Order: sequence, then structure tokens, then C-alpha cells
Amino acid sequence: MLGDAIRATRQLALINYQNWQRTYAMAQVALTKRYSGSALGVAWAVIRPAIYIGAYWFAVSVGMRGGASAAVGAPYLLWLVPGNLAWFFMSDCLREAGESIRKNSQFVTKMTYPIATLPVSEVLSHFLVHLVMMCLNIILVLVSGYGLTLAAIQLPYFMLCALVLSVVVSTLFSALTAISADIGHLIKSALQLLFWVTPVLWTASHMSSPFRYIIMSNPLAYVIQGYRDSLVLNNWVTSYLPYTAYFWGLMGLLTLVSSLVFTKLAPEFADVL
Amino acid sequence: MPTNQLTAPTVVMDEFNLDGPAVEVEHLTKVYRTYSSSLRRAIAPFRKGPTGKKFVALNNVSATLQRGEVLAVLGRNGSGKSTLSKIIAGVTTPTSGTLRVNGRISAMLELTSGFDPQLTGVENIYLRALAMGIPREEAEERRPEIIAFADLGDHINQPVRTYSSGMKSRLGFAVTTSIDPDILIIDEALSVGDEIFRLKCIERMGAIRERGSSIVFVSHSLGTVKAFCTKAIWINRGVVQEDGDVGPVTQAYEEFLRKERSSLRDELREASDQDAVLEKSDVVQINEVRLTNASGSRTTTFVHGEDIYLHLGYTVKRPQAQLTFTYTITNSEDVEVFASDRRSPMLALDPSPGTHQVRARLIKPPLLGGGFRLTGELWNNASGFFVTHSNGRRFSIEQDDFVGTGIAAIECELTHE
Repeated sequence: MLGDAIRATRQLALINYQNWQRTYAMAQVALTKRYSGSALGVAWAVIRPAIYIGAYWFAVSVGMRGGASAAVGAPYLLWLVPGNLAWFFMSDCLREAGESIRKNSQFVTKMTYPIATLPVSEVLSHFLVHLVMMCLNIILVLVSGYGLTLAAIQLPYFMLCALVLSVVVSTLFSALTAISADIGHLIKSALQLLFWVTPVLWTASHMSSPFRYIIMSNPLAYVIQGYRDSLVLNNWVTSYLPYTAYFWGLMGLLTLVSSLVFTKLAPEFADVL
Repeated sequence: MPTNQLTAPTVVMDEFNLDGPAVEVEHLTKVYRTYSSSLRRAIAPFRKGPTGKKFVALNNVSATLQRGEVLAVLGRNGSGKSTLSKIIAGVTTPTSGTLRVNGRISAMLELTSGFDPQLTGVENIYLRALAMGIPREEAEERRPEIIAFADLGDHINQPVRTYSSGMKSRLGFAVTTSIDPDILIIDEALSVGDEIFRLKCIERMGAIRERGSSIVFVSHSLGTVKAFCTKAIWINRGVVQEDGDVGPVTQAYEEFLRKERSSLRDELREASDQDAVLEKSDVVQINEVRLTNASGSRTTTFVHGEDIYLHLGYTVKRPQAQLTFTYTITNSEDVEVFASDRRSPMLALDPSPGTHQVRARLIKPPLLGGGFRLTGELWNNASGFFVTHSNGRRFSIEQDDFVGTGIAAIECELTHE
């Protein structure tokens, strides 16, 4: 099984490498499709998170009556933004790229297209938007007077982590959703639940073990923590190297599982969609 | 070998190798598995051994397509034709057997050809080019030619969801055939579309054939197949029945269809289904049509001005709301002399079930000498049903004294004023 998984991973990596230009072009097509239909167009990419973050800040801040900032160790609103942006990126990827094969069934059933690149194109299209959002985030931190610290150079690293996580898990989800719409619905519901279990609006640092370990074992928590450490909390990743090792170990395992599942299910796509 | 697709190792698709036959299929078998739920299907590849219910779409199919040949794939619905074309196109993988494809494939597997409904026609052209791996410059070059062939006018800039099915198939065909494929696969894509569209498609397919490319043509339209294809393969229930030159194979297939149709009709007659397809004689049958003269003797020669009697015997097998007798007289050059009013109440017949006999008297027809034909028909004006008795009865008019020439005599009275 391990041998199969490694072979599968190599195969998928090769397909994606060989077709990267097409993947990138498809990502742009996905972007135009997503935003060109509406009047506000690309502005939605900013408006949507702004509305959500605004709502969360209001709800938690007013609810906790100022205790929020003390609990998280930074002005609450500023603390919310990077974590939420990371969450939006990753969860959007998982949800939409997770459906990418089912949604683009014509690429599977009507022509010979490298389907392994479909989830990657979708993730890439979200990433391009995410890049812009993070630039805006940096501007926000500077403008607010809070100021950037040297820890901010970690941001590209954590963005890479987010990208890897999104690509690997979306590939897995897209294969499962393509075969079984039931699993697709299950994934969607699980993502809803995941929002509350992941420390997006709150921090797990005050929790006692074992709860803290359980919550932080979620790889999204690692990424979100990293975004916050880079932009707001001025923490260095070197202070939690074992956690980092755990994250990458988990990514390695997920890559093997995801590739194996994808290559085993891929021959069935055309028959099912 | 390009690793674009996660295909079985027995499938080799080489875009750049133009030696040897265009398509080679050996012992190809495709088994579809159905599962009671999609969850079981997701788990299936991970279990030891195959599971689920089996449906054999293709069973040990072998065929070769040489360059420049046009292969027709014939068979009834559900015989496995489309499965074969999908496998050759590389869309689905065979369960066992080998497939070797040399050259670039372009396939039109369905009318709508995988367009994105939200994008416009032009955007879809570029998207298709992108999906097929064609560089943007090449797509730009071919765009005017595609637009011209599709003949959609301004609609090319509207989203594809606003197109009619005919428009979609025109655009699909234009795009599919524009990339100069070495192997073109057309799967029943011409079934929707008017004559002009079909003509354009056949023309273009002919041009592709002239260039030396090969075509796989799946169709039910035997006329087109016989005219256009060079080889044919007939598949029934996944098994090859005949293959070879198009003439003998289509003949065998047509014979098969005829047998199927007549046995189906027999079955239906026995089942006596209300909704089954009926022959006209199952509804109303004309038993006899006889011409006699005034004294009742059977004859087909009459004298000018003599009454002509038509005896009609008919049986009503299924109750009719009403029945009208109509008759048409044509001369020897098939010029219509008179066709009676289909709705004439004076010619109403007894529509009740059972056998009836009527006698129609044509009153002193002014027909001049010559040969004529009388056709009798029974019409149900309520339902539009009608039944004709063969080609009608020939009769001739004899004339001893000359009154003039033409078809009918019109008398004239001259008065001096």
C-alpha cells in the first residue's frame, strides 16, 4: 500500500508539473467566472471577508466587553483579521476545490483533460485572491499604527503551509466528492462544524491539556496560529519546532493518502459523472 | 507516453506517432459496475476483488482503423457503440484489453460538447482550446474560421446557456473539427440539426478525410453511413457481430433490424396493447374495390357519359368517430381531374365496427375517351386517419362520336341574340 501511495504521489506531482501552464490559465478562467457575473465583481473578494470579520468582531467584542483583546494579547480586531483570512482561504479551497471535479464534469466525460490539475487550478485561483487580501492585511497593520515586526517575514512560509494543505486536502475531497455526492455533502457539513472547532474567533492558548492538544492537532490551527504570530503576536516559529514537525509529518501522510485515493478513484470518474 | 491521464497501462495514446494504424483495439472489454449507493462505490476500489452488480458493455471487441478510413459503428441503442467511442476518445478506461491510438484525437461525444453555460461562445472557444492544450495563438488564428462555420451571427458573444440545441451543436462541431485532428470521433452528434447543418458537417468531415485523417462515425442514419463511410463494425450487446467493408456490414445490420421490427410487431399484436404501433389495416381495412356498370357486371371500360359504379367493401376493426368516403380521379398523365370533398356529409359512411359494403355511383362523368384511374379512400376527419386502397382502379372511357379533345366534355348551348 505504501509503495502504491508513493507511486501515486509521484504520478500526480508529474502530471501537475507537466501541465502547470494550463493549470495557471485555468485558474484565471475560474477567477473570471467567479467574479465577472456580478456587478460588484472582484470587489466581493474584499467585501465578503470584511463583512464577516466586522460581524465577528462586533459580536465577540461587545459580548466580552473588552476582555477579548486581553485574552488574545493584541487588539481584537487586528488579531481577528489574519486568522480569518487564512481560514477563508483554506475553507473556500476545501469547499470549492473539493467540488471542482464534479462541477467541471465536462472535462472528465467529454474530453481528455489532466483531471489531477483541476483541484490545483481551483486552489490557485483562490490563492491569487488570497495574496491580494494579505497585502491589504499588511497595509491595515501598518496604517493602524500597530506596526509590523520582523516576525512578518514568516508570513510567506505560513502561506506556503496553507497552500500545501489546501492542495493536498482538496485533491482528496475532490476525488471523494466526484465519486459520491453523499460524501460531498458530508464534507460540506463537516467544514461548517470545523469552523467552530478551529480557533478562528478564539484562542486555545488558555485551554488546559488534553483539550489544547486536541484542538491544535487540527492542521488548520497551525496555519492560523502562524498567520497571527507573523502579523500581530510577534512570535517566531522556532519557538514551537515540534509542532512544526508534527504539521509537516501530517502533511506528508495526507499527501500519500490523498494521492492514493485520487489515483484509485480516477478511472471511475468518467463512469460516474 | 504522455502522462496526462491516469489511465490503465494497457492504453497507449501517442499524439505524435503517425505511423501504423490510427486506432488499434484488441480484446477490449468494459464492465460497468452498479452499486446500491454512492458510498459503496467510493469504497469499492479499496476492497479486494470487484464488487457491485456487473453490466458488460463491451465484450472482447477488436478492431483496427487505418489512416484515411472512415469507420461506422452500428448497433441498436445500448449495444455499446458509445462506450467504444468513449474509450477510443480516452474519456473512459477499459476494464481489460489494449487500446493503441496514434495521432491527435478530437471527439464530439455529445451535442453540447462540454461548453460552460455561463461563458459566451467566443470565451468557450478559447476555453476548449485551453482544455485541449492548444496554444492561445493557434486558437486566435482559428477563431474566425470557427465562427464562420458555426454561423451564429451575433449570438457568438452571448452566453452559451442562451443557445438552442442546434446552435450548441453547430458551435461544438465547429470547434471539434477545427483543430485538424488525426482521428475524429463523432458520436451521433448530427442527429439534431437541419439538413443544411448536416450537409456542412458531412462536407467538413469529407475535407478532414481528404487530408488523410481517420474518422470514427457512430450513427443511426444508415443513409449517411452508406454514402460516407468506408468500413463498418456492428456491435450488438457489446459483442462484435460483423466488421469489414461498409456495404456487407450495413446490409447484415439492416436485415437484422428488419427482423427485429417484424418480430416486435408480432409481439405487439399479440399483446394487443392500446398504445402499440398499429398498421392501418388493424384499424380499418378495405376488403375490396370493384368497378361495375349500371347492370352490375364487373368492367373497367365505360362509354362516355355512362354512370360508373364503385363497390367498396370495408371492415372497421377499431371504433371510429366517423368515416367519409373520398375519391380521386386522375388521367393517364396523373393529372387530377377531380378529388372529392373530404368533409362532404353526403359521402359519410357507417363507422361502426364490423364489415360494410357501399356502392358509389359516379353520375354521368363527362370524361372524354382515354385511360383514367379511380382511387378510393376512407377518411376519419376527427382523427385525421385515412386508409387508401392500393393504387386505385384503372378504367377507360370509350367514345364513338367525336365531341372534342381534352379530359372532360363541357356542353355548350349556342343562342342567337
